[in-house]
Amino acid sequence: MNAENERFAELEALITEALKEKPERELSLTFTDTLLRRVEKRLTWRELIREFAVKTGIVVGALIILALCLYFPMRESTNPFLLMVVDNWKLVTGVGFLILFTFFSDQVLLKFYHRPQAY
Amino acid sequence: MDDATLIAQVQAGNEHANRFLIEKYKNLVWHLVLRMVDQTEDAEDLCQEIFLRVFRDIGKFRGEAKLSTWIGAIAYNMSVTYLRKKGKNIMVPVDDYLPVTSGKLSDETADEALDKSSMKKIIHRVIDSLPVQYRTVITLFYLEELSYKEIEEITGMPDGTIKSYLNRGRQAIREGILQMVPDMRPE
Repeated sequence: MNAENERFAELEALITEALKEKPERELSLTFTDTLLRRVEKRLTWRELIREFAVKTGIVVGALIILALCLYFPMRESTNPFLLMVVDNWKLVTGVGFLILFTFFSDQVLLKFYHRPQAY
Repeated sequence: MDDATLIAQVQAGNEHANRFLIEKYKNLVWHLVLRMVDQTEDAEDLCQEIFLRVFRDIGKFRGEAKLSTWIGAIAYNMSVTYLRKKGKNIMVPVDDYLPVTSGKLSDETADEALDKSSMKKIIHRVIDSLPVQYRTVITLFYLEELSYKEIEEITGMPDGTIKSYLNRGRQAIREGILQMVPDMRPE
């Protein structure tokens, strides 16, 4: 009986020991470096997008103020510049997108893909 | 480095602090994920996603809990989401689980089972057969040596449920082993 109980106590101790044992499978050795690369990539991307949004906001804001300044003193019908913009809105929008894309490529894409690699 | 300093350094974009945070908590996340998602190949990818979430949300950490439990909670919640996406039912009521093992060992294997390392392998097999919630609580308590309160903060389970999972989990492991190696059963 004592031997049985001892065996049972041994089993209990073994269970505790096994439960405290680390799993055999370990993280790969490159885990930290791979993760740091991904973190750096995401942080850089987020930072570049934030900067781009701020810069675009400033430019667009300035253009809106300029347009309002031109619009109110002289109404659309009498302002040749605004009249040209309204008549050629497709061209103006296209050029606007082209400028925006060029600006985006310069400020975000080029900076992102040519950043120094830390890891 | 204490938690507050580490967080401040990570938020300031210190790359050494990022590395330190990963090294400090990667085992906690890895052990939890590995036990929860059944050692699939996705475990390491999931760990990466968990740390990316940690870095994304670290600004939201208010210091109400320890950083380890906050990271543990993210790991737990993301593992639960992963398991749900895979269509696995993780909620097993405490009273509903009966140990299911792969039958009795042959006489030869039973003899081998008396060897300590073989016994441990059997124990791990039984642990792997436990439901997710049992494995999670057992891992956090025994392997990570967290308190009931910390496990509660990570899993959101009440204190009583955690204790029940631990007791019944251990009982299930014992029963599972005794089913596989009946010679261990006391008279």
